[in-house]
Amino acid sequence: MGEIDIDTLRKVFPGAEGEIVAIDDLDITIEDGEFLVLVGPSGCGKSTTLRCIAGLETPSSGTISLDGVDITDRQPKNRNMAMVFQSYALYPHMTARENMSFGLKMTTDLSKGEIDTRVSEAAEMMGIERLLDQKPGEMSGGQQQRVALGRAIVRDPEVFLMDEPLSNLDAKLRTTMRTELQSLQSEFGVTTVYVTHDQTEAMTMGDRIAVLNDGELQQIGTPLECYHEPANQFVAGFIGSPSMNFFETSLSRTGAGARLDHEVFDYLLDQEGTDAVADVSDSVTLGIRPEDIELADGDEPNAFSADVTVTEPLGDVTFVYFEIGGQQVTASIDGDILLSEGSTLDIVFPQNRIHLFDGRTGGALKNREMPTDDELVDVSL
Amino acid sequence: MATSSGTGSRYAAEFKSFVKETWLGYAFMLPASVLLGLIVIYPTLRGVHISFFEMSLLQPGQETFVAFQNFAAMASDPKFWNAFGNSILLTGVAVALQYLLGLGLALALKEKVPGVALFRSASMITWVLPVVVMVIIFRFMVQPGYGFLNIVLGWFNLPTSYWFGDPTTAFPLVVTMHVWRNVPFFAIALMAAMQSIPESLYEAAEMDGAGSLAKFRYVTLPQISYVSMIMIVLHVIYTFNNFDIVFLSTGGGPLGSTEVLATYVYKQAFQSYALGYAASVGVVMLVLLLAFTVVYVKLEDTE
Repeated sequence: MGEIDIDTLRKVFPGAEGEIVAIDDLDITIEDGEFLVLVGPSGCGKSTTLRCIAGLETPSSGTISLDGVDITDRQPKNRNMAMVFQSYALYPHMTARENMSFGLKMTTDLSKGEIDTRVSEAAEMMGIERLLDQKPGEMSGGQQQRVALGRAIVRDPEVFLMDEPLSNLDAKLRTTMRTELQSLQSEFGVTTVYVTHDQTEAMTMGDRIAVLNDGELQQIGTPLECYHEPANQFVAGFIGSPSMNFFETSLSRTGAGARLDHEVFDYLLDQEGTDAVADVSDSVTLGIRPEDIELADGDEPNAFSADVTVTEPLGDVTFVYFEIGGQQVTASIDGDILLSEGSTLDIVFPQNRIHLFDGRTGGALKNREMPTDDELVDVSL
Repeated sequence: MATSSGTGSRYAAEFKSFVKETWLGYAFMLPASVLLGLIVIYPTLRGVHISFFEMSLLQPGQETFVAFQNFAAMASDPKFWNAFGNSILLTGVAVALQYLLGLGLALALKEKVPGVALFRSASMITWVLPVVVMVIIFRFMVQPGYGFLNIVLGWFNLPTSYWFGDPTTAFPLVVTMHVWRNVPFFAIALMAAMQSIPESLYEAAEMDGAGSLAKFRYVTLPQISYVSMIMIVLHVIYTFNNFDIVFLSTGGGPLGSTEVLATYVYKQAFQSYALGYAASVGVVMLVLLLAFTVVYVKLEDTE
């Protein structure tokens, strides 16, 4: 069991220029066995939240419960949680075996033989049997990472806490470890809270992701929910790579429906879009993901031409950068279409793919259509 | 592909630059080597050499080769054994106390309490104070009549005395001066080592269930062991060789109770004029310190 309930958690640090609010009234419930990713930019409070759960920071107010028991003021050792640190934090003077058995030695009455058995089992699981008698200084980053994970696993905790554990690895190893961590987690079924600033990690690993900014929860949901139905402009811009393009427009109402006026183009909204902006007075932010921008033949409604400044061919797709009204706009175009820098293209933002945000609050007014159930079934098969 | 002549000239150029640069390197090293040879290596070798001769300052130029007779005389010299014992006792007790107190002070100074920065600087005063000044302060403090220590003892009607003149208290006072002087240096060095331990190690230990004592035992101590080794080796050498503190405060007395090898060597050479004998005592000190250093470094390596 390992259900974590975070209730109106608040953490304030004293700073040179007044107080710094790291976490602002955070409410999250993490189900037993769930893989929750806390994601957000630097300084958004995600690590502080994790450290509060671990007991390494004392919350200013609010409570944290584990399986219905209030653990807010418990010492870390009485929480039965294991943590993997960004720097791994392996004890440099101990061998991998000693590192992994240290927690068991401290917290349990297990005999030396029993501890050895458990360490060997965990080492086998992580594929690090041959490293057991080496010290961290003699291992590569990836090997240290495995030992750090092994140290967490061997404790058999109710909750795994991971603070950017993959950020010190090279890109290839990171991808491998990502899948490995996921399969380990689903194998153990242990509740896991994972902190990262990398939205790709968040999207690929989490059962659910919680997007934080400035200490406040922006949205919590499955990766696809956050991707397709962002709650606000921040989430829309943070989730997805390359980021969503935003255009600040002013709203005018015509007989044919609402129209968004931008410096370079006008965008006439369909009925659904018009309804969505019904309550907004003037400014609306139009959002479109790079992969949703389409090349136009020239006669579609709302199409306009733009100058290509840079192209980045990746093979399967090409990232095309346009200059639209002094702003750089990214489009992801089929890699088979050859484009040259400096050319002018007609592009269009399809009505069913655009996002609309309130220009003042940033709240979502309309999101792109979710993939239909048929499409989802096809994907999962 | 390079032509053969091209390859040849390339090698020639490389050889030339190698010779040039190497000789330049030797040239840079020469002054330092000569200086070292003059002020370190020659005196050391000369000292070892003298220890096999009978030599007196009163008859310069007269050297009689006596092989190991100086060392044999030492073995049956009770004054030598007294100084030898005192040196070892002083070094052992003083360095042990310095390390323990320094460790305690380091742990205290590491805490983030207001005003600790000032205290950190203030604690270094004893270390920067010249030895002469320190000895005068201590001698003044234990003066009968107007010494601070005796005044305080007088308030409580306790016996007062000139403590440096008493064979039972002189030695502990010498130890105290060594400790008083060097504890802050130990503290600063150990604190620096402690501050370089990443905070995440303590957090990991906390998550692993370690209490304060276990964190100290399993994280702090192993992480400061290297600095500890350097500090202990340095101070064993410093204390064992120390001359000025003992000589200025008691001169080795009263009744030889504070005589150490360093003061004994001085007395043999410049008061009894027995240069050869003094040199042989010096050689014994050198061998002892070398043996200690080798053993300690070996022990540290196996940790």
